[in-house]
Amino acid sequence: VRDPVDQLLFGYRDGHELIAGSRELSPPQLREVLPHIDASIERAEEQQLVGTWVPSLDGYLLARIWPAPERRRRGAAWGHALVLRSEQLRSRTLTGLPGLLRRPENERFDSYLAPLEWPSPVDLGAAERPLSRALVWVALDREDRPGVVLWDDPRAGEGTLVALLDALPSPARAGLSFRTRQEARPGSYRVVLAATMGARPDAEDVVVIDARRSPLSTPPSWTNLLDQGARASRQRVFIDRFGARDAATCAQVLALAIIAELLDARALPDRVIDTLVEGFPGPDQVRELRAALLGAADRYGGLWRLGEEERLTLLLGRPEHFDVVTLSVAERLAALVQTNPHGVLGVVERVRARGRGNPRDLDE
Amino acid sequence: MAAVELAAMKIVLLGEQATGKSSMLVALYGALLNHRAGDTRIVRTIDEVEFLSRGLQALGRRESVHRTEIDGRSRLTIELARQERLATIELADRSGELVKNMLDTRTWDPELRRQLDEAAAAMLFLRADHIESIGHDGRITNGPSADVGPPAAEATDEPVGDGAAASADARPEPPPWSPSQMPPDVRAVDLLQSVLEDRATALPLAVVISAWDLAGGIAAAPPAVWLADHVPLLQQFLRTYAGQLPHRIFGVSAQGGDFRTDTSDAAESEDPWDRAYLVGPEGTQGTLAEPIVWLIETAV
Repeated sequence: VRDPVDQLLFGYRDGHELIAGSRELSPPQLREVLPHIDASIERAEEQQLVGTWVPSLDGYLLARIWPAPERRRRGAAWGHALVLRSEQLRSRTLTGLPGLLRRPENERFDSYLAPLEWPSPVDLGAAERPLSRALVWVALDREDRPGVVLWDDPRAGEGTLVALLDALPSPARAGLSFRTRQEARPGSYRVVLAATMGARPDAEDVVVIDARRSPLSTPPSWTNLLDQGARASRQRVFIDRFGARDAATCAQVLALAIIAELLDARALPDRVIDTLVEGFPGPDQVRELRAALLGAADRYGGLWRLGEEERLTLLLGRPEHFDVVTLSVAERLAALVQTNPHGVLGVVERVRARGRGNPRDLDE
Repeated sequence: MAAVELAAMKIVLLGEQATGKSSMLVALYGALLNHRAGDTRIVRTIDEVEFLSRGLQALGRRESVHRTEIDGRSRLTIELARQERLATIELADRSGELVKNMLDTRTWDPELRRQLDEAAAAMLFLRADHIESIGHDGRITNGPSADVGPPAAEATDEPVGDGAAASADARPEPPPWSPSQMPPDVRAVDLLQSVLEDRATALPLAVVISAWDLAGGIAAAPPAVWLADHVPLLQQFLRTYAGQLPHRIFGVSAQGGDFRTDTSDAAESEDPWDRAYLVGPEGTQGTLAEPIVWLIETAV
């Protein structure tokens, strides 16, 4: 099998337990996995899709749970899980994975004993727009809060959740956990997609969006991230390109999405750079994006048409957030002195006027 | 005279999967709501009771209560009144798989341990038809496979991991010993030993033999006698540690019968709270609230 993906089958035997699998689980791994792969399902037609990083496995669990009415114990369930290795999660296209999840039939478990071959990518289709926007909104919550999206048929959002996971840059994928279920029990997953609110939230600070109703406030336009149109496609490419190394949290993915949108809308450069340093304050983070935005204008003109003086003004206004050596600030200022001495003075004055920058650096 | 309010009390439910914890909670809730709990009255419910209402509906349809999933966080928190006294009790309904995995892996489940630390009392659940009996003819009857265990087709040991590739015609090796092979009474003692190792103060314990109808019901030997006959190791352990584990033994039939076999008109016409019953340690019939009442009185 090329690029194998491990699988585990859980079901009710002597309690809900591991029935078959292509790998073994240690007791701590089993204890950590079981809550994600168990459900006491009351509706015969309900299925649940679960995605979560499991630290003890050093892997990502993608699983589906079905009711098992053929078992004597009421509420018994089958759970089929794929365990994605860390490098698989980071580097592979994930859209074909849900197609590997299958319910056992006729008590035959042989096919669960060997790893599966990584599937080809598939088009997961598009969920209704209010649903997909709500899912993106909750998943990329600025404050990293767990959230619940309410929708009459939770299965309708499964493709969107996997597509969203796939759209995230590699380091951020592990941070997106989700579960679809009939009744929400918020708190354990970043995104819960459910038909109704069940128990009270464990966590106090939970975002709840009822996607079946008109939103109380207009959703931010970055919630269109999974749209089929060219603009959303450009945003996804932007996020993937610049976040591939350093965008490790959903909040950082959000920062990239907002930057892409601001650039698209030709927003004020200050807003773009403020968003950048808010999401990625360290000078070593998203170096390629930092260079593309504030590197020398004659080398980095792809993202925006911004002159050298404006770039240097933005950069020197926030010196703690940029590596002035890597960005060759001294050389660029020297070159500017040669070509446009008044321009350099203009840079210094603007930085001072904004009350930013280190006065001694500016004097030098 | 004003009622005396007792401090809130947490009671932890100990028992492996399918030992009747959820059914007991549902039946107790039904008994309290419908005035079948003697002089114990429910004053108010303090928490989410949807799972209890659904459980009561299931019992009303003569269906078993759904199992509790491993990540379940259901609990019954109620204020009870009895003889001028008010008590708030919280009974958390956690999945029996937590206890099973704890015993199998010899590792405390952190959540269960926290619950025990906070608990003023406990209920230990054993299921009557899970306990093997050795008859005079030497034959073993009952045991987990007799009811909720897997049918024969499921009971085959499916290989997992490295052993998966073993060929079908190879001579089967006896499975290596593991704690999961211990009988229920040994596992119960193992669990209580772990509890005692971790606890400095006494823990009042109500031992609930569930599915009491399958042990003979009201006509059976009293639960205390039944325990000594069928689960002597546990009975001796409890007697030895009576100071740390003051205890009483109850037989409970939360369903009031076996839904698969008991199809009499009388059984079908009764409400769940009228079908359910409890037998006290000495064999007298009581209300489902008795274990809770005894625990409250002993723990205070």
